[in-house]
Amino acid sequence: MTPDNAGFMVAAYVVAAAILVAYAGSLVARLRGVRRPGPAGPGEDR
Amino acid sequence: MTPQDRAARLARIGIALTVVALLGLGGVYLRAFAFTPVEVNQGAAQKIFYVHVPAAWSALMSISITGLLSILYLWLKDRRIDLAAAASAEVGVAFGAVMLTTGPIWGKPIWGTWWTWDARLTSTLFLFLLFVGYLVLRGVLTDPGLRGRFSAVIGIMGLVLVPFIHLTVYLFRTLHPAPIILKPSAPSLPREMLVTLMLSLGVFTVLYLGFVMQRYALGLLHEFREEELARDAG
Repeated sequence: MTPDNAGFMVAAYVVAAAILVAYAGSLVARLRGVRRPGPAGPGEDR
Repeated sequence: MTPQDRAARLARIGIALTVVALLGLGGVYLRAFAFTPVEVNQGAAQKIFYVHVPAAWSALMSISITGLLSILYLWLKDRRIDLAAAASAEVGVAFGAVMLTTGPIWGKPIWGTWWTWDARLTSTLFLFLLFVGYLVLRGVLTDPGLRGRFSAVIGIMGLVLVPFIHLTVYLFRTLHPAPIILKPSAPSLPREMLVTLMLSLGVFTVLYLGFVMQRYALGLLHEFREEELARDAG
């Protein structure tokens, strides 16, 4: 009998999408930040 | 065109590729959910395979490229190579986070446990933490030469670990299954599942390119800005 575990599948897909979209968003935000005038923070994007 | 303009253009191309890849990921999700058969023994949880394996592929590819660029950097001492290696390392950590979260979510219904300290899982976690350390190290070292050399050493250590991680399922007793694609014989998957996996691998690879282009452009723009500030202060 095929087990009913679709909740795990949905959870994994949601977590994967959340991490990838969050990282994509962080890159865009940092690219905007680096073009703004003013000093960069310590250790930023090296 | 100034170097800043070229970096900004690279960032725009990276953003465009990322958007295309994220839309492609939506397509992969749709195909996996609605048009790929449910595996009889594992049930729907087996479909985690279509994000877990491409995430692992992308993470190990990112780290291998970081290692190769690290060797090249130690040889040529070109700071752009160091920036490219760092870009690939950070993207590798992002994909590694996907691999290390989707794996346990798949493991729980199939193995009955979220995690086990076997050779495959432990060595993969070690590699992930090594590259978190790589990023922390780059953040605290201010001298570019020192930063490049130290991080290159870690990058090469990661490259050495990648084939070891691949072989752990053959060398040790482990809960993790052996590869069904990267093996000497033909892939052991029904065609519909194989097509979904290949599409997902393609989408993750484009996502890798989009992320790395943006992250590399970010490193370049940051360096240009630091140089400008140093000139203004001088």
